[in-house]
This record gives sequence, structure tokens and C-alpha cells, in this order.
Amino acid sequence: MALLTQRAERDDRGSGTAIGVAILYPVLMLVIVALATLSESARIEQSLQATVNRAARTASLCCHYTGGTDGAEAVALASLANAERGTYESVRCNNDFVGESAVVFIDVDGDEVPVDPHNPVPPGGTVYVLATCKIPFEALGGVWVPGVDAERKVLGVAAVDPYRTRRGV
Amino acid sequence: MTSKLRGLLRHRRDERGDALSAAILYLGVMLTILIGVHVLIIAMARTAVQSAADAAVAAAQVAPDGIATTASYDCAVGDELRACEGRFAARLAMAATDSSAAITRDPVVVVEEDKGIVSVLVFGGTISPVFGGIELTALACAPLDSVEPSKLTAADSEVWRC
Repeated sequence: MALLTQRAERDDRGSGTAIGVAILYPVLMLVIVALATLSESARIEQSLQATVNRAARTASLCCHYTGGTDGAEAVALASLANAERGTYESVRCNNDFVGESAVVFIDVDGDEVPVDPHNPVPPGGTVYVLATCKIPFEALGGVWVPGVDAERKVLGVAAVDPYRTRRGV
Repeated sequence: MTSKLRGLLRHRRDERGDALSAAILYLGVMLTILIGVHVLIIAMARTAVQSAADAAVAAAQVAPDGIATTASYDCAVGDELRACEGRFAARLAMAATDSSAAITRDPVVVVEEDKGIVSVLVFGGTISPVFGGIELTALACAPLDSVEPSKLTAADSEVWRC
């Protein structure tokens, strides 16, 4: 009887701590997931920026003409396509990364040079590569949320050096 | 009177055994905070090391083709100039991000003239509160400036492969 009374007296032992655990741990776990998401976001952003910078630089060095099969635009898009394929950069997007990207040529007067096989790449001008990537949410910290993509727009810029060019152009 | 006191004593919360669970809670919170700090530190270090690799590739691409005739800190006589420039750029970039990661081994820059690729491997280290010293590796590559445009646009071109 005395033992039963003693047990009845001790039935709420440690309940305060249990409540603390129940409230605190999910919040702390969320903080860790948020940190992981933010850090992955920064890494992916860096990867995207490196990709467009490289594409712009490749286009600025390439070719005499903006358009055409082996023109500057084609080379920039090939660079983006290979980044998405993971051959030199790991870019993972849920949209048409190459198709939704734009390559723009601006001459020294600030006018746009249309992409055309007969238009020369403007010497001293600038090449802009604008890319849009819808990053799958699971790539950000490993949490899968269906239908939630983080859209990022990145701009790569490179000047066209008139004294540097590739061979065979 | 005695029975009332006894009743009050019976309803008083028994706190025996709370110390252990409180200690577990405390340790759990501390561990979670440490894991959070670990995640942040590793992310910063990875970003720093990857930027160094990207900077090294860009520098190696721009550097002239040729062989070094004079020795310097990052270059021995007979080394490929592009490799020297890449190593120098990687060191500079890592020095600039010294608070995030420190260089642990010499950067490796490989210029494959026949394939038309320059690849860079950068090693950086940081100290995590959970796992201690950690070494991170970043790889970057790009086609050399001497590669013809037709090779850049060709399907399954090898010039983009690290």
C-alpha cells in the first residue's frame, strides 16, 4: 500500500523537462534545416554565378560573329548546357536553363548588337549572359517540398577584348 | 490537521530524477547549437574554396601559353605559365578568405593542351566544433582560350569535362 501511494505521488516527475524537450527540439531542428537551406542556397548561387561568368567570358573571346552555328551566342549557350549536364559545374534547375537564358551584345556606344550570323561581335563592347534557374527545393538543404522551387536570376558580364580571339575563327 | 498536512505533502510535486532529464535537455540543446555552427562554418569554407578554384581557372585561362624561364614562389623554371598563374590566383583567393578557410595543400593546376582543358584542384581546411579539423576540396575546370569555337559547340565535347 505504501509503495502504491509513493508511486501515485511521483507520477508527474520530469514533466517540465519533457515539455521543454517537446517545444525546444523541433524549433532547434528547424533552425538547423534553415541554416542548411541558406548555406546550400549560397553555394548554388555561387555556382550559377560562376557558370554565367564563364559563359559570358567564353562568348566574349569567341568568334567574329554574334550568331551562326559556331557564333558567340552558340558558344555561350553550349557553356550553359554543359554546366547543366554537370560536366564542369553542377547546376540543377527545374526549368529550361539554356532555353530561358539570353545572350546580349552591347557595343561601345551602348547600343545592342542583334544576334545574327552577319553581325560581328562588337570590339571593346560587352557580352551579357542572363540566366534563370528554378532551383528544386530539395537541393536546398535536402528538404523536399513539392512544387516549391526557388527562382534565381543571375547575370554574367564580360568585355570583348579586340586583341584576343580563338584560333580557327 | 495532520491529515490536511499529509494531503498537502501528497500533492507537492516530486522533483526527484529531474536533474538527469534536465542534463539531457541541456546537452541536447548544446549539441544542436554546435551542429548549427558546424553547418555554417562548413558552408562558408566550401564557398571560399570553390571561389578560389573558380578564380584560379579564370587566371589560368587568361595567362599566356609558354614555359617559365625564371623561378618565383609559385613557379619553378620549366613550369607551364598557365599552371603558375592558376596556382598564384588560388593562393591569393585563399589568402583573401583566410577567416573562412585556410589553404592546407598546394593547389593543383593541370593544363591538358591536347584536350584543351585547364583543371584546378584547391584544398582548404577549417575547424568545425563537432568534427574538429576538416579538409575540403574544390574542383573547377574550363576550356583553354586556344580551343576552337567548333569544339566548344560540338555535342559531347570533351573540352567541358573536368
